[in-house]
Amino acid sequence: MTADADLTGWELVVGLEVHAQLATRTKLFCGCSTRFGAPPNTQTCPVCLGLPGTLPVPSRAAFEACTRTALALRCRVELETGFERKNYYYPDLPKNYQISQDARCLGRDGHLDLPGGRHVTIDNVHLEEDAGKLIHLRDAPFLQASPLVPRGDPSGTRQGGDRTATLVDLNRAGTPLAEIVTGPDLRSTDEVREYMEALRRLLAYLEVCDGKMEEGSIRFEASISVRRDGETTLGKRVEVKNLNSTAAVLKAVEHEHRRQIAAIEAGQSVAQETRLWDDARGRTALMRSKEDAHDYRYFPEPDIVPIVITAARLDELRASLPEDPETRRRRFVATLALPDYDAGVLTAERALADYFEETVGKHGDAKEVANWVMNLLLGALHERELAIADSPVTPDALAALLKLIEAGGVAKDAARKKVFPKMLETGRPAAELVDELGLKPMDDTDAILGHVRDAIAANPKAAEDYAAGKKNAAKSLMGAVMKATRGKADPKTVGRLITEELDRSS
Amino acid sequence: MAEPVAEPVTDPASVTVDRALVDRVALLARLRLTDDESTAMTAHLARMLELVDHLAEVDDPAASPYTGPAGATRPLREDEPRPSLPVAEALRNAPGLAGAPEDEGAFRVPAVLE
Amino acid sequence: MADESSAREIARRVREGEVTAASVIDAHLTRATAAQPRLGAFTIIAAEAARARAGELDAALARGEDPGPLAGVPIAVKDNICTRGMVTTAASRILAGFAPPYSATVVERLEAAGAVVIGKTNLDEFGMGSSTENSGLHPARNPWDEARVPGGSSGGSAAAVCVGAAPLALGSDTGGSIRQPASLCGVTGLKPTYGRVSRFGLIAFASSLDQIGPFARDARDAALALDAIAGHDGRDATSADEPVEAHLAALEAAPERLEGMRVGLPREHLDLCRDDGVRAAVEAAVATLRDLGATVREVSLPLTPHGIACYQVISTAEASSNLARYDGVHYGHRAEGTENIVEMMSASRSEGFGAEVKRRIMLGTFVLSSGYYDAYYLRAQRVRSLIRRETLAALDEVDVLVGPTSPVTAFRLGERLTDPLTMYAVDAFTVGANLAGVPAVSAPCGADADGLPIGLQVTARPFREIDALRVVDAFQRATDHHARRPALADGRAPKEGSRG
Repeated sequence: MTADADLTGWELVVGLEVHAQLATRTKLFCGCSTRFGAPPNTQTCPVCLGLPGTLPVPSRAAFEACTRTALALRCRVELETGFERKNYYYPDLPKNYQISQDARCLGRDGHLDLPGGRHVTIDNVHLEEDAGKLIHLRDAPFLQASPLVPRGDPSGTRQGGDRTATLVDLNRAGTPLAEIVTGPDLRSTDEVREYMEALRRLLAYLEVCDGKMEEGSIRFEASISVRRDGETTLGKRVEVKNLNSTAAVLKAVEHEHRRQIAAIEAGQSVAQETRLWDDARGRTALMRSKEDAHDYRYFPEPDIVPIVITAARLDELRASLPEDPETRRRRFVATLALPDYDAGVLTAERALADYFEETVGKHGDAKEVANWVMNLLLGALHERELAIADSPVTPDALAALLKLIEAGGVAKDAARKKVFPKMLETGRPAAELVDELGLKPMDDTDAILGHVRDAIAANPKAAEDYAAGKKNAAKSLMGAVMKATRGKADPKTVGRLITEELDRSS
Repeated sequence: MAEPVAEPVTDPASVTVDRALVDRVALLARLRLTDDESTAMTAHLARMLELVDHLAEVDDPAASPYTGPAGATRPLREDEPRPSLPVAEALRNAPGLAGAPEDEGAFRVPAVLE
Repeated sequence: MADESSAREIARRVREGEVTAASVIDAHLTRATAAQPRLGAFTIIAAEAARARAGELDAALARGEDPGPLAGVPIAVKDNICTRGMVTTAASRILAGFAPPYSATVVERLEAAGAVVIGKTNLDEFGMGSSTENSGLHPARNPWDEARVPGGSSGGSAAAVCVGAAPLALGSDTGGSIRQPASLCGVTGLKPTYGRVSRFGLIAFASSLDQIGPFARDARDAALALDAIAGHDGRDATSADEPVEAHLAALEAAPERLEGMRVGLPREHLDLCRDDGVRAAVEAAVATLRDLGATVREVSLPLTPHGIACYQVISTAEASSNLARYDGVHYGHRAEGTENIVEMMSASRSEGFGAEVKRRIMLGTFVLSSGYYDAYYLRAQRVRSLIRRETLAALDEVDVLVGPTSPVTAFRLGERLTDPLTMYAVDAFTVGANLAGVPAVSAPCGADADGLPIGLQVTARPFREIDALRVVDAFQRATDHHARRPALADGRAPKEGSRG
């Protein structure tokens, strides 16, 4: 119904709210484990169950991880911050309020620059607890597989035939989340994608979030509006929830983009409302619950005193920040003269960029190191399912190999095809393997000359062709000489000697 | 079961406590009041606000709206896991479970619509 | 000349083998059980658990171990304080049958010091009330006159100590819920500095005001209990990390007289007190303090008349959120026959909460709601800052503030139920200490024409419970108001005597 909307003349405006699960061992306000995939309700305690009389005690690790996130996003971070209660009734929320931050949140007014050049403002970064998980028994398809379904009662009929009940698993309740809220700054699905990738990369660099979308470690909500080109005020925005993958975000943005334009062009208006993305049907639908939840009645959480961080500790946290991926990428281009593409690949992961830089530090030819890492190392590690940090070839070892090639200690081709695979397999140094494989180049010019003369003698036709001006004929001799020397001769030397010999005899 | 959206009133001076307001607050608070209760609540709320309105006489906009405890506190906890409850213990007080709690593994509520 | 029924004396005799813990516990269980049909002070009397625990203590003593400074001391615990495996309901139908899998920090600490929980005491549902008539189970009654209320919300604890069912009891105080029933029942009650005693395990009414404290016969027993429960707790993020004085030892070492003690008399507290009996008793007590060497001067707390309004806004706002968790999902009462989750929650809450709780949830929800937050909640918070500033300023000039705890003595059941505002008015002099976060003690200082007890409130600086306790201790050594017992109370020490 919306596929035929004409998008020209319209501007898309998107803001994203990202919930990133902070990689702490315990929940935000209690000592329960945050491990993913445990059987339902096995990671709960009186505090995260919201039992009467229990109190939340915030985790320093979560607080500092969120602070580092805010700092990395260039936010203003106050020394004194505080929690607030966000009140709404929902059965996945044991206390019927979520401890979050509002007026006194951790970070404000930051930004993230995207590789494509967009400057995305970060309205705020705050710390909050996650809710639990609901399983709706009426959603039959995944019932059979759900660990929540009582044994021997897959349809839930034991409850007086109640197939419509909802089950509650509170393992996730209380898990620490950093919520990162952008301004309405994204103007295309490409920018939305770029932002999601850049943010995920940044969080991984900071080691504050494991980034596993399939485990819900990063979740998105989009607020989407459209306006006619040239308009300066924003249109009515629609909030879309239930976006469980980056692909879903992109599809939902695309869908809303078209739906809203079609609606306006058909003379209807877009309502400011919350909609749920239905991935199976590829569309959004109005959310039926939580309509009264817009009145969240935020107020300062009286169970937790304001958290005061010292300026010294804040400086330490700031100093602990790694160079962010975008800055690093730009530096690789500017100071190491790498092509954009290479710099992008090499900064995708902090450990990879570290590996690369460490290697370059020992062998200065950045482009050469980039080629080896991108063309050989990454593929080989991928095949072996190894992380860069676990590479059998260390930066030292790779740099040593490249030096050996440069010094003529091994032919590049032999290094690539024979030495490097052996290094990956054994983790042994290049020099040792070159010796062992007998790949040490012949540096005896007289011996090579002998092979050259033999080759010319064996191929008189080539010499004739060369004399007749077909300079390419020299190349056919090359292969013969290399074969005769079993690849150990330096190809440059061989080429030079062939030419000299042919020139002399012609 | 769509519920009415709360229409925020922005001018507190214009507060009239009537049934509509009481009903809206009751919905927010998840309380179901009988007619009699609503009537009594309307009167009670009006009297309370009359009492509370006197605070305006002594209010000082420069005063801090935050008051914490006196003295030092140590509000942050180290990130050390502690044992969780056994699932049967977590569900022991849960209503609406037919079988033994450990056989259910989860809390159970009437259908939730999203 | 030790009072044989005091907690100190019981602990001494148990530790020194003069009596067994079992005999002490039996005698108190007997008194508690005997008084229960008339007073309704308890929600449950945990006879079996208490006897088992006393047996363990006696076994430990037989092995030569010292159970601690509260060895064998029976203690009654307000039923909004969690006791592991023992039903804890806050006197609300919504928590019927709820057995927490943990004990409050205060209970753990008392038990670690050798105390024995003999039962849970009655209260106004969730602590919301000043008469214990709002209990979801049954009202409690005043031991001095069963037609009258014991005060509230910790009315059960006050009545239990008054009749000697236990020498010590725990209460909680959000706007006067320890001090006011202490006043109406003629016992000593202490609300500590906010943060002094862990709130972990206290079923929250208003988190920024709630504080657990002891009821006792005198200041020294209150000090003994405070010594056991005070101090930082990692399970409460508002718990104060401040050194804890040995209060009992300090009282025992203090001189009998109060030379150097500066007492402030808030003019507004006396002016607003219309009951001549109460005024006269308080004035006589002040004269006694002066006789003991204290210097007395008038001070002013002009915001006193605004305390109740400020308190009502803040306490109900927090309560509306704290009580949101009672929805029939994870524990507690669930309504039958509902079709969907919103109905289930609303019906469970409507069935489970009493009228006063609903009133407070409604006001609290309203003052936080969109459009009203600034005009009501935020304004009350600012006024709270002003009240705190004013209180601390007064306490800059003097060491303690002294005045009536309650403007009235024990009133008749039903007398203030029909108009909730008349009930709220009873908190006029007590809410200030909660709003300011300072400690305050109520101690008996006389009786009205009907023989009903009158309480003197002594307020001190943050973490200076010792100043308030010292004034009360000196007063109690010079007078015998605290020793007066109602006819209903046995008043004598356990008869069981020596073991063997």
